[in-house]
Amino acid sequence: MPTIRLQSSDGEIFDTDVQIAKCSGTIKTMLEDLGMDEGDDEVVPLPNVNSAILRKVLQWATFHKDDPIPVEDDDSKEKRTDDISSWDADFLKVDQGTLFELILAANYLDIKGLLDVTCKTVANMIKGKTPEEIRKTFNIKNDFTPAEEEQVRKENEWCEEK
Amino acid sequence: CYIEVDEHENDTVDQSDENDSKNDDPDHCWTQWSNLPDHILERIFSHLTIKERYYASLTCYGWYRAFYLPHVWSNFLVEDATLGRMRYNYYSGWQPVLDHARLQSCLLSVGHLIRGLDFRPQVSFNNMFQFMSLISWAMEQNARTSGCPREWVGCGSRIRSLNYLFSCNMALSEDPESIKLFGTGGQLLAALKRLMLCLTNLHSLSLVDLILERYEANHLLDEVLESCCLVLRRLCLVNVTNLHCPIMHIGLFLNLQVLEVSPQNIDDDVLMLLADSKVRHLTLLQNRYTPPALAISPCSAKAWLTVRRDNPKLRVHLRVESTTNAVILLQPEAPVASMIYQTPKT
Repeated sequence: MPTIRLQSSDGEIFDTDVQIAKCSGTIKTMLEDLGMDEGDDEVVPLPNVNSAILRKVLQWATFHKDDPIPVEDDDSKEKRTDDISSWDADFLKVDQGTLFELILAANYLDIKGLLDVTCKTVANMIKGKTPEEIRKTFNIKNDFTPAEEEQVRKENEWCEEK
Repeated sequence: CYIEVDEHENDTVDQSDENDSKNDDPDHCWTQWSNLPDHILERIFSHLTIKERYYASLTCYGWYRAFYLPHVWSNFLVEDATLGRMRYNYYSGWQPVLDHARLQSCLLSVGHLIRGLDFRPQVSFNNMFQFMSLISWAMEQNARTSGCPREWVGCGSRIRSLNYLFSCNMALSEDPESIKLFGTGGQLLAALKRLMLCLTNLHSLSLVDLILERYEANHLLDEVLESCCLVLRRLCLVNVTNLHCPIMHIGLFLNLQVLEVSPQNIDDDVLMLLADSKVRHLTLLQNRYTPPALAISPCSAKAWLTVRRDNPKLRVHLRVESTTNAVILLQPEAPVASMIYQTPKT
């Protein structure tokens, strides 16, 4: 099976099955555009992904290598968050810092399936929490002034049952 | 001189910034969740309910901005409790009732972002009626020649898809054998037709389990044909009636590509229209409320042969979705590409 060499931002080299690496749209385009398909020993640098995250991403891609190609987003499709597979749920039992890096990596590498499931996981972490609890969960700074906060709260009061 | 002043100003700004953050919390390292790219925030927010989006928008400025990103609101789900409040009723206890003030604020705030409406109430048909009436009213304001009140400009103008699922089984028990079918009609149907007349840019329309009388079914798509004859790409009509009643309108949309319809609502004449259309995928769908296959007659082999000849790219898919052991209705000589059989017995 042909392999390619991926290099993380901190210099580690990952010898990867081409089929698995191609679940990343970014790598796939790179290989096709640059004609790097020949199995030569060139290294593909991924300056936005560190080795810990790249290892996770490749682990995910290996498990999902036989998934059907995801279709384009359909606006009219129902948005569900309760359909995360148990393997993915276990895979994403990570601290929120790692989850954040995984989202950015999925975005940079253009891996739709991974981006989907990580965003759903974030949505599930928001569900059922008050604004203060959400800030605590994600360690978000409240950057509103008290006056702004009051205004923003009033602006969309209609979202909440009175 | 200018440069010096500039530098001086910058310096003070920088210092005050640093001071601010130091004063706030010297050791705290805030995360970057608030600064995710817009399309990722859209993805996350679109998985939240309205109230959850609101709570998330109150956490920080970045997420407040995300509340108004267009894709967050692209599919608007209308269920029993959507924008409602609970009200006590002597017959049925606590029931969610649509809150007009909330719906109005909602449409004023994000109505111009909605791209798809998805109606899925289970019990409260009145809520459905009220919702359709208000959003139709808002869109009618936009169509007025004398000008629209400024706050309503653009409301509903981006809607490209409408899904409308009628919960036609009024049986009280969960027993799959006990089915009491009541279709829609009257004021509720009139409100739906009024809404469809307002939607002039529908690319996808899905009307499921309306179970109308024949005289209503014959005119169901009058308004859609008038407003969306050229733009409609996908049409799904499941059980418009539960008797044989061909719907001619489905063959008249000039750019329709995907059509799903129940077999009791097509006949040879409809097929003749489809033979001359751009439809590529025709799904004949039977669900649990479709009459049994024995009670429906398939279209004639002659008609299907004409379809094959005149519209060679058309593919037929036969699909059964049922909780009982339903029989698939075969269509002799149809260009069938797939058969999907989805019942608990398979």
